[in-house]
Amino acid sequence: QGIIELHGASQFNDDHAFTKSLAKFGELASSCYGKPLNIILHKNSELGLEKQYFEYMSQGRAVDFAIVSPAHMSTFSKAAPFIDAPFLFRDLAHWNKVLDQDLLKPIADEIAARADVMLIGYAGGGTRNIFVNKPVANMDDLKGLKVRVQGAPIWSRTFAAAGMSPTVIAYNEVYNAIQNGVIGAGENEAAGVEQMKFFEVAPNLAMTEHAITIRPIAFSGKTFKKLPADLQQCVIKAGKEAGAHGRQIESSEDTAKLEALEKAGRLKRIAFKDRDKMKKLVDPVMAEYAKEIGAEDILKKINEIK
Amino acid sequence: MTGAVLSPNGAALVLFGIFFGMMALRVPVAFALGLACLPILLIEPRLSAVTLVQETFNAYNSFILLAVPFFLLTANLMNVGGITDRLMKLSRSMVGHFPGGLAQINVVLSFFFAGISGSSTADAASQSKIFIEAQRKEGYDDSFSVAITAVSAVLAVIIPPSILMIVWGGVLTVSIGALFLAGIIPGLLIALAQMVTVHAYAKARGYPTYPRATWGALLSSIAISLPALMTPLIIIGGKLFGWFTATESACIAVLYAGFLSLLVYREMDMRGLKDALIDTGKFTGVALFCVGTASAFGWLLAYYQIPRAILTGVSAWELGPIGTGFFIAFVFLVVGCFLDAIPAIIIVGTILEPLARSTGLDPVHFAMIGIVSLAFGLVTPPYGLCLMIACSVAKVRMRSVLRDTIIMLIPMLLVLALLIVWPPVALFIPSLVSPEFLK
Amino acid sequence: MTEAVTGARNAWRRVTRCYSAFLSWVLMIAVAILVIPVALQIFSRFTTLIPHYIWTEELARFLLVWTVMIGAMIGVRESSHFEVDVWPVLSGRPEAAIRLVSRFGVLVIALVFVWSGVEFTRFAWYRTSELAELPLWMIHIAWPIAGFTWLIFLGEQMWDELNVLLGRSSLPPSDPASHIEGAIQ
Ligand code: NA
Ligand code: NA
Repeated sequence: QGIIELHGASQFNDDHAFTKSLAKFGELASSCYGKPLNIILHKNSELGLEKQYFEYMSQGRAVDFAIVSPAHMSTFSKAAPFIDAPFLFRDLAHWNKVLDQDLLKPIADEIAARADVMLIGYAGGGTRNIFVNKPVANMDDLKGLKVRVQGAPIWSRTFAAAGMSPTVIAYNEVYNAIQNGVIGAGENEAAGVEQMKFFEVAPNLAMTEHAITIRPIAFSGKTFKKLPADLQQCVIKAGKEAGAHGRQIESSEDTAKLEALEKAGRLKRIAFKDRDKMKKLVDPVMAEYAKEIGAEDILKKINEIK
Repeated sequence: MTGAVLSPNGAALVLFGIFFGMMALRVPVAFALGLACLPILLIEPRLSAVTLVQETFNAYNSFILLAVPFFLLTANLMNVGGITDRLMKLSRSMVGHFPGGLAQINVVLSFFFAGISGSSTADAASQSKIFIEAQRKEGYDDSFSVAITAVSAVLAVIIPPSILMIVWGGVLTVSIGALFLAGIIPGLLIALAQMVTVHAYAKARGYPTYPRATWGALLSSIAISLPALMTPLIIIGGKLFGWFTATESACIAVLYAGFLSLLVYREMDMRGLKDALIDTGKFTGVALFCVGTASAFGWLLAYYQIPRAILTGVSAWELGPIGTGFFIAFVFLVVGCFLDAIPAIIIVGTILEPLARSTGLDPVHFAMIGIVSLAFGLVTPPYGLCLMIACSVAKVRMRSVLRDTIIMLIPMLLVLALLIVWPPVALFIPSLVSPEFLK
Repeated sequence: MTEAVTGARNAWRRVTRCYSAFLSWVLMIAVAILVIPVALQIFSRFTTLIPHYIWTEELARFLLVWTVMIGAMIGVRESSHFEVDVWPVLSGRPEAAIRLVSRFGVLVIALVFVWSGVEFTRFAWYRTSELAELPLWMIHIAWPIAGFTWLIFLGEQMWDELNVLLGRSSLPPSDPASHIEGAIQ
C-alpha cells in the first residue's frame, strides 16, 4: 500500500485565513501522525466552490477536507445554517464560550448522520457587517435597504424582520450588482470585503455586527473510516487545533483589516446605534426558526451563557 | 486516499489523446469530452464516474448560463415576429446601393442584430436562411455567400449584449457592464473591415447593386425600425443604470422582443411562438450540454494541476503586455478551432488569467482579446459553429468555403492586432462612460 | 428480414417518434416558463405589487438544468450534437460503419449516465434545495432519464445502421426528425 494522501480544498489564495487554517491542519496532522503522509491543498477554487467540496466529501470522492460555510450544508440538513445564523451571538466573548462548551454538537451530529461529513473543528471568527453605498447608522437608514444575503432562508427572514429588503444574488454577481445599483448593500466579514473589493462600490461599513461566523473544518466520513486508527485520532486532534488557530487568526485579522482599509481611505466604518432594537425585531424569527429545526434547547443554552 | 495513479503528464496525455481521437471518429464533441474523462475517473480510486455526472450538474446549475436560452429565444422571436424584416429593410435603404449591395446588407443586418441578441449561432442560423439563397439568385458565388454570412455572424458576440461577455464576466469576475461597453469599438471596426472586404470582392467579381433609396424611404424605414433599434439602449442602459443584472438583461431582451412581435409589429402567431420556443430549447440543449462535459474535463485538468504546470512554462518566457496579448490571442484562436467558446472560457480563460494579470494587462482588455479571438473561432475549421451552420443551410462542404473565409478573416485579424497593441480600442468607451468600471 | 422483425422495428419507430414529440412539448413548456421567475425577480425590485420571492433564482436554475438535459436528449435522436467535420463524404456501408463507431461513443456515455445517474439520484434522495425546498432528486433524476432516453434512440439508429452494414437495407437519414415529422407538429 502506498503513502496515504489527503486532499483539501479552499476557494481562496494563500493569504486567506481559511487557506491558512487548512494548511495548519495539514501540518498538525502530519506531525502528529509521524509516518509518511501526503497532504495536497487545492487553492483558488481549483476544484470548485465550497458547496461542491461538501458534496464531494459526502460522496467520499476527490476532496477529503475543507472549510465549508454551514449555509452550503443546508441541502443535507436544514439545521446546519443554525450554526452560523445571524443574531446568534452577542459578541466575540459569547461566541468563544459557546464553542468552548461545544454547544453546537447536536447539530454537528445531525450533519454527520445525514451527509456523512464530520465537523472536526471550528474556524471562523469574522464579524459580519453591512457594506453599503450610502451611510447607514440606525434602523431608519436600514429601512427598505436592498441587501444581498446568503442563500439560506433564515438570512432573508431575519433581515426582512429588521425592515430591510433582502435579495438573493450569486456571490460573484454582488460587486456588479452594487456597482449598477441593482442592490444597495451586502453583508460580509472583513476578509470577504477585502477579497472581493466590495469597498470599491460600497465604501460605507455599517457596524451592525449581526453575525460572528463559524466556519467548520469538515472531513469526509467515508475517508475517515478508511484511515488507520492512529491517523484518525490525529485528524480529530488536528481539526480541533487548526480550528482554534483559524479562529485566532481571523478574529485578530478582522479588525486589523478594517483598520488598514480605513487608513487607506477606502472604507468608512459607521457606528450602528440600534443593534439592540434590531435584535429585538429579529429574536422572534430566530425562536421560530429554532423551533422548526428542533434546536430550541441549543438556542436556549446559547442565550443563557453570560 | 492513496496517491494518484496517473502522473499529471500521463493524465494530460489520456485526456487530450482520447478527446482528439474521439473527435476524429466523428463522436460529437460534447461526448468526446466526456469519454476523455471516463478512463481517468475509473482508474483513480479517489474519483468515480459519478464525478462526471456531478460536474455536469454543477455546470448547468448556473444562473449565468441562463443568458444562452434567453438570447436564442430573443433571436427566434425577432425572426418570427417581423423585427428582422424591418431591420433588413433599413439595412437595404442604408447600404443597398453600395457595390455588392445584398452582401453589404448581410453585414449591416448582422450589426443591428448584434445590438439586440448576444448569440452568434442564432444570427448565423437565421441569416443563412435569409441571405444564402437570395445571394445565389443574384449571382453571388456560393462560397462567398456562406463565408460572409458566417463571418458577419460573429459580430453578435463582440457587440453588446453578448453571451460570451456574460460568461466571461461571471467566470473571471470582471465587470460585465465594462465588457459591454468595451465591445462597441472593436465591433464597429470589424463590421467596417467586413464591409470593405465585401466592397473589394464586389468590385473584383462584379456583384450587383440596388438603386439608391430615396431620403424619404430611408427615413421611413428608420422610423419603422426605431422600436427595435431601442433594444440595445434598453439593455446597455438598464445594465448601467442598475435596473437589472447581466443575466437579467437577457431576459429583458426576450420580453422586449416578445412585446414588439406581439403588440407592435403583430406578426407572431401561436405556431411561430411554438417553433421559436422549441428551437430555443433544442439549441440550448446541444450548446450547453457541451459546456457540462467541458467543465468536467477542465475540472480534471485542475485536479492534476496541469494548468499550473503549463503556466509556469509560459511565464518563464517573460513576454511583455503586448507579447502576452498576442500569445493569448494565439492560444484562443487555436483552441477556438476545436472547442466551443463557453467551454474555452471555462477551461482556458481561467488558465491564462494569472498570466495576463502578472504582465499587467487590464482585465477588461484581456477579456476583449479573448472574446474577439474566440468569436473568430466560430468560423475557423474544423469546429466553427457559425461556419458549420451556414454550410449546412447552403448544403455545401466546409472545405469548399475555406478559401473565402480565410480571406475575410485577414482584415478581421488586423483589427484584433490593433486591439492588442492599442488598448484604447477596448478601453476608451468604458473609461468615458464609467471609469470606475476599470481597475 | 422477416415480417416479425420489420413489425417490431416499425413499432419501435412509432414509440420513439411519440416519445420525442412528448419531449419536445415538455421542452417548449420549460423554455416558456423559464422567463417567469427571472421576470418576477426583476420586476419585484420596482413594484410592491409583485412579492419578493427568494426562490426565483433557484427555480430558474433548475428549469435550465432540465431544459439542457431534455434538449440534449432530443439532440441525440436528431443527430444535432456538434461534431467535427474531418471525413470525406461517405455513403452506404462506410458511412454506416463510421456512424456506428461514433454512436458507440455516445452509447458509452449513455450507460454511464444511467449507471452513475442512479447513484447520483440516490445521493439526493433525502435532500431538499436551499431556497424553494424542493426535493433535489427531482433535478438529479434528469441524468438517469437522459441516459435511458439515449439508449432508446441509439438502439433505433444503431439497428438501422447495422442492417446497412450487413447489406440488408439502405441508409436512413441521420436526423429522423427533419424527414419524418417536418419541423414540429
Ligand atoms: Na450577416
Ligand atoms: Na450582441
